[in-house]
This record gives sequence, structure tokens and C-alpha cells, in this order.
Amino acid sequence: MTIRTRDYGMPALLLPLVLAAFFCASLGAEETREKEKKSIVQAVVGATVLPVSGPMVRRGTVIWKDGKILEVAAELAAPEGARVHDADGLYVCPGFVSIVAMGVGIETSSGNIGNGLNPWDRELTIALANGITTVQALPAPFFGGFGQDGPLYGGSNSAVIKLTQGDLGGMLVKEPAMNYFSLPTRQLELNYFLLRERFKQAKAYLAKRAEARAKKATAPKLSSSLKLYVAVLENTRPTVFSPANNHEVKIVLSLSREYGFDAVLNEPKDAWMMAADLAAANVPVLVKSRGPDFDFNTTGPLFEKGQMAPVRRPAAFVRAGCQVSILPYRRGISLAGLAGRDLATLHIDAAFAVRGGMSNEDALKAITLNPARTLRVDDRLGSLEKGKDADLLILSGHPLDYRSFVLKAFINGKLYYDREKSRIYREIPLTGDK
Amino acid sequence: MRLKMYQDQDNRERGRARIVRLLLPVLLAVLSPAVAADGEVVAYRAGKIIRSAGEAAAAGILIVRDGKIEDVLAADAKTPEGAKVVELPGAVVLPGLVNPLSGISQVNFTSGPGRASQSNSSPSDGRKAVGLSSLNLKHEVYRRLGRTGYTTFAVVPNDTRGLIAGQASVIRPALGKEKEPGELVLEKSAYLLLGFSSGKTWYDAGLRYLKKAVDDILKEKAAKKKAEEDARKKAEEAKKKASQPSTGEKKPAPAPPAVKPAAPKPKPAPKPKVPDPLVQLFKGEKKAFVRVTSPAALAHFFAFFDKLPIKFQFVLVTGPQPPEIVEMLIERRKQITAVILEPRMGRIPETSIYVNTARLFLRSGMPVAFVPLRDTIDGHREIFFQLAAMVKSGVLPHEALAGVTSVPADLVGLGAKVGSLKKGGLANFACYDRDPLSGTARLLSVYVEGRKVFEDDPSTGELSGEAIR
Repeated sequence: MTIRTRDYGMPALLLPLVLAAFFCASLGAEETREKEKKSIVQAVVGATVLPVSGPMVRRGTVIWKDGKILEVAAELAAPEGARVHDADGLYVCPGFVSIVAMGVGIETSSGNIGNGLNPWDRELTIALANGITTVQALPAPFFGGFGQDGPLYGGSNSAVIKLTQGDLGGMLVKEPAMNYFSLPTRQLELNYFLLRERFKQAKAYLAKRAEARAKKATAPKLSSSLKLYVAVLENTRPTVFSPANNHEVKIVLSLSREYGFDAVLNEPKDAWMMAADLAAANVPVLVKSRGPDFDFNTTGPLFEKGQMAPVRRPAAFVRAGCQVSILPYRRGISLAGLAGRDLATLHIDAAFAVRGGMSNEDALKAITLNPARTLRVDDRLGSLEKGKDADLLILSGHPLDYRSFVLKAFINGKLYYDREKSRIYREIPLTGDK
Repeated sequence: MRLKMYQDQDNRERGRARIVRLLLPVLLAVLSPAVAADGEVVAYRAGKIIRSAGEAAAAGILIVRDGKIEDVLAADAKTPEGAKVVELPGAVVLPGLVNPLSGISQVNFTSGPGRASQSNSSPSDGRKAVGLSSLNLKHEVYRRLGRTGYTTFAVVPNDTRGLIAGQASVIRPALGKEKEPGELVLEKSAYLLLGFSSGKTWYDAGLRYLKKAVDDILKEKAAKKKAEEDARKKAEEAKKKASQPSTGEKKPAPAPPAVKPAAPKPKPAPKPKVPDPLVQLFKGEKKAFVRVTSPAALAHFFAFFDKLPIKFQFVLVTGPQPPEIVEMLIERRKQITAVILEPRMGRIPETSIYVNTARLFLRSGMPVAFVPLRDTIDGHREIFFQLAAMVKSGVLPHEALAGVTSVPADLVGLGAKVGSLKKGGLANFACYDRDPLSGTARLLSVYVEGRKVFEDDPSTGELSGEAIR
């Protein structure tokens, strides 16, 4: 027996050559890639453009450079030397913004999200394939459900991230994004009272701190029980409340009015009854367009008499003039369970809202510009306007049509999803009829 | 084609091996000394000797004196006068295997000077811990090490989760007579092992440890530069003064040395400081192994690393990765000198397609060393089963062999001593009854520095003596 080595003589000789060739090639590639990033103008031509901030543009052109949109107009020729994406008969709209997402693009959340991002998360591809380019990332809850509704002090565990797959540098947009405030669930009268007391104390603390700062003295010590309340009153980011009933909605509205902070209502069950008040107070709402599919109370109806069917709620809020963001049916991505019931079908949830009486435009807005506004990133995201980030989708049909596929998804002007190269989606045939 | 070749060899071999099996115990009983006396020359006459991975196996004679290889002769050469001859007729002699990263010395060892407590939430700083300090000779694991075919282990003091796990010591298996753990050690501090994960605590610790080391170096450099500058200025001024034209006359003779500007008093020499291993690492005086496993952690590590004003080269310890990550790593060949992998397959995301990460690295010219899947005696014994699987999926046999011998030996800086059978190297070798990459190969005996630490008894099929686990 011999371990033959003469077979490997040739590769051994060739290796340095191959290596050298590889090095040259890779160096060259890197250089060109660098150049590309900086100077190339790109354009989508001939598409039906839904800019969200304005009316639909037929045979429209979107031009962008260095990750920012330069122009959105009809019948515009692409500039000389631009890389043109021909989108004749296709649709273009801004990338969807999901106002919640759990465990998407995050590996670990020890401390903060920015340092625990995972650009190689396989769920990013699935989210991109379904048009989601930006999410507010929340860490996955413990099994059993302590998650976003827990009091996150200072909102340290929420961040707005873009789903730039494989590219850590482009991911983080803003951290922290929102405060999450949990309302009491037991001993209600006592706790409502304590709640108001704490807000008073927090206000007093802020006054003291301002005084100390004016004198350039050291700020007074902040007790840990007041941290969240101070963060809410500082109002550097909006605060999310999940009211259980309209009584709590009223409490939140009065607190927001009294202390002047921005409140956001998460799934306010019956608040459509007082939607006009919410609109007047300029309080955005986050709602699902589908009701629960399972309830332990199997004998009772899924919603009480006199309530509104979940499918009609988003439209009811919009009619009253509220700023509505549609929540995904589930906050994470798991193709393991029931298809069509997770973050991957955000646009289908918007389509359900249309069935409940919303217009197409409002429904699209509820998964793009409205969540961007609520997250206070609408200066960069949410619509196709000059100067905003070039986060856009090229779709085979209208974004709310269940038959439409995302063909290409661009974030910061760069292509991050191409259906033709997707191992999951490329095999599914596009339906011809529109 | 190659497979058939191996089969043929195996068939031929089987016949021969049967005869060998009958003869070998007799021969061994008559000829082989358990321990060679000092100064004695022993000639091992073997059926096949693989001097180093990639070289052709050929019959030959291994001449060993004082635990070192004096020469490797052709089969028909004359053995030196007075040499004791040991016949290993059916054996394939390999250089003893080398494990470049192991925690095997820490069995049943939970506390002690070298061992820092570890947790993911507080990455520890074990820069001063040395593998040697965590050795516990009372444990029999050190005597069992030899029966694996491995004869060299680089052991790290802490488990590998710490940001700075510690300095690895290179050891050999124990022969049972050692009194001090230091007797096992070939190299006290071979490299510094760092580990990096994503998450805030790791960033904080990274900033605290790595950036501080860099800042120290930069400060030191700046101080040195300033001192040089000052010295230069002083010298210039002195020169100017000296060259100032005196009135009309020729330059007077240089002033006597007593007039010289008083030299600053020599300061008392500062105490010799123990150099900070982390600082040494940035200065290129110490080798670094960096363990980063998940793709996200790799992204975060390089984002962090790129921001450091001074960089260091390192050996990357990682797991099986999808091709795009391998591509990203290969682009960083300037920083990554080699890769240490477990011999197992990775998977392309969203598919059930398996990829051989080691093969991808090797094809791009990156040296790859393998560590066993399990860091136990059994894990080490199984290494050739795992490597055979690697060979099945595209790693060449000589690359697999190099991955457990010469490559790891070079990585721990002991390429001249271990990892191949060459003149002047240690007489560490393992004898197999056939090509070790064939699934049926059996480890016959293992020698460490010319002394037998393990022997299999082929006539009974049982492991002899102490070797039974």
C-alpha cells in the first residue's frame, strides 16, 4: 500500500500560479466594486411607479445615485451612462417598512441591537423577497411570551434596521427607536394612581435636572423606577402603549396631552369608537387587519356584539383621519408554520385592510410611509421622493396583489434581492394574467 | 479511480497484514525495547514511512538517538553499528499527529491559578494565563494522550469562550514518570487565543482590551519619537554652537571633555516589566489564534478589527461556513494566515446542499489545519474517520494528512521539531497497519521522543495494557 503523492505533484506546482492569478483577480474585482458603489447612476424605466407620497406615475422613471433618489417622473429618459433596469409593465414602489419584527436580522441582543445584528440571517432573504426592506427590530421574546410589551427601560432594545443582507455597515438606521410602556394589568385603580404619581415625579426630576444643568452642576441621581418615565417625558422617541380597553386609551390620551409626549397605540381593540379623538390628538395606531385565529374561550364569539370585525378596523381608523400602520399577523418569520401568517405576508395584511374598506393608496401607505413616520425616519424612508433613500422594489404586479412577486429589491441604491437568483422563489412561475 | 486504487492496495495489503499479525507479536516480544536507554541508537525498520504529508511513502529505516531523529535511511541502507534494530514490517509510519488547539488538559480541573471563570455575558481577560498552569499531572488523561496517534497538543488554559482565553502551551503525552508538568512542555507560550462573538459585551470588552493595547503602543511610539526628536534637536544645537565662527582665527581645538554639557544623570534602570502578551501580539512578537464561529460574529469582528489603527495577523479558528462567507474570508488573506477547522461539512443556506468548507479554503491556497470534532481521547482516536469523510468530499489525501501534521506544527511554531520525520526533529511517530485514511486502518503503536507510549496487540484484537480505556 502506498499513499500516492505523484498524483498531486501537478497541483502542487500549479498552486502558486493559481494563487497569484486568484489574487490579481480578486484585487481587480475589489477595485471595480469600490468604484461602482460611488459613481454609478441607476434608473428604473417604464414602470408604473407608486411613490406613496403622491399619485401613481404611469410609464415612470426613478433615478438614483449614491443611495439617494435623484428624480421620480413620467416619461423620463435615463441619463447617459446610467445602469438601466427596464421595468416595462412592472410596478415600482418604496420598500415596505414593518413596524415590528422579532428576531429578524439579530443574532444576539445582549445590551443593544446594533452590536448584535446578523447580516447573514437567512430570514433576511425571505423578508426581502416579500418586499420588506426596513423593520423595527425587537429581540425575540423568551419562550412563554415576555417580549415587546415588557417595560424596556430607555427603549434600549429596539432599533430601526435595514435588511441589507450580508452587509453589516448598511444595517443600522436608528437605535433606540421607540419606548415600550406596559400598562398595569392588576390592582388597576392603585396602579393607575401610581402611574400618574410617577409621571409627576419624573417631571419634577426633569425640572431639577434642567436647573442643575443651567448651573453646570452634576445632575441629580435618577432612581431606576423612574428611568422609563423620564425617557417617555424626554420624548426623544415615541412611546408605545398597548391599551386593553378604551378606558386605558383615555388615560394614555390625557397623559400625552398633559405631559406633551408622543404616544403610539398598539392594537387598541375598541379604539375605533374614539378614532376621531385619536386623530385630533395626532396619535398613530398600529393595528392588525386579521383577528385572532385561536382563543382559549372556545364557546364565545371571536369579537363581541357591537364590536367591529378586525378586517374593518384599519379602514375605520383611516376614515376618522388617524395615521394607521398595519401590523403583520406574526412578528417573526417562520416558514415552518402556517404559510401566510407571518412577517413575510405584510402586504397581504394590507390587502386585507383594503377588503375591509381602505383604499389601495392608504393600504400601501400603512406599510410604507406611515410606519416610517411613526418611527420618525420619514426624512429618509417610506416614499419615493427626491433626496430620500433609494429603497425600492420592482414588482411583477401591484404590491397588494397576492399574485405579485418582488423581482428586485434595492436598499440604499444597491441590489440586495434578485428573484432570478433566489433559491426559494425562482422556481415559482409568474402568473401571466394581471 | 483513486478509490479503486486504494481498494486494490487494501486487498493486497490484507493478505500481507494477516502474516504480519501472526508474526508481529513474536517480533515485538523479541525485539522491541519499551524504553530506549540514553545515548542508545535505535533503528526502526518499517514497511512504509511517510516522512511528511505529501511525500511518497517508501520502505525505510528510521534512526533515532536520544529521542531525536538522526536520519531516515532507505530500506536497503546499512544500519549504524551497535544500533538496536526494531522491525516494524507491516507498519505505515506517520509523523505523530499535532493538535493545534485543545482543552484536553482541563479534564476534571475546575479551579486553579490559570483558569478564569467564563461566561458569555462577561468575556474574560486571560492574557496572563498559560496552558501549562492548568496542567494537573495527577490526572491520567496525560498518559492516555499517546494512545490517540497524536503526540503534540497545544493546550489553552481557559475554555475558548473568553475574549482573551490565554496563552497556549505545547505539550507531549506523559510517559508516567514525570514529576513536574513542565517536563511535558515543548513550548510554554506558543500563541495567544482570542475569541470574538457579536453583542454589546464583546464590543465593550474588545474596546477595553484590544484598543487599550493599541493605544499603549501608539503612546509608546509617540514618546520614543519625541525623545528621538529632542535628542536630534539637542545635537543640532550643540553642533551650531560648536560651528559658530570665532573671530578671524581658525577654529580652536575641541573643548576638553570636561566642558561638555553635563550629560543627564543615568536614571536607575526600571524593573524589567513582563511584556503584555496583547501588546506583543500587535507588535508581531506573538502569534494569535482568533476564534470566531458564527457568520454574524465574523461580520462584527472584522468591522471592529478594521477600525483598529494597528492590525495583527492571525490564524482563524472557525466552523463550517457557507461559500459566501468563505469568499469573504479568503479576501482577507492579508490578515488570516491559516484556518483551523473541524472536519465536518457546512450547508448552503436555504438548501440541503452540503459544502466542504475545508476544500474551499484549500483550493484558494489557504493552509488548513484540522482539530477533532470532540476534544476527548475518543475524539482524537476518530480523527482519521472524520478526515476520510473530508477526503471523500474533495480534500486531497495529502492535504488531510498535512492538516493534522505539518500545518498545525507550523502554526504553533514547532515545524522544525514535530509534524514531520526529518533529521533533528523529535522521534514522534505513529504506526498504522495500513493507509490511515482507509476506514479499516488500525493504530499499532505510538512513539514519543523515541519511547513507546502505546501498543496495540493485533493477535488478540484487544488493546494491550494501560491502553484500554
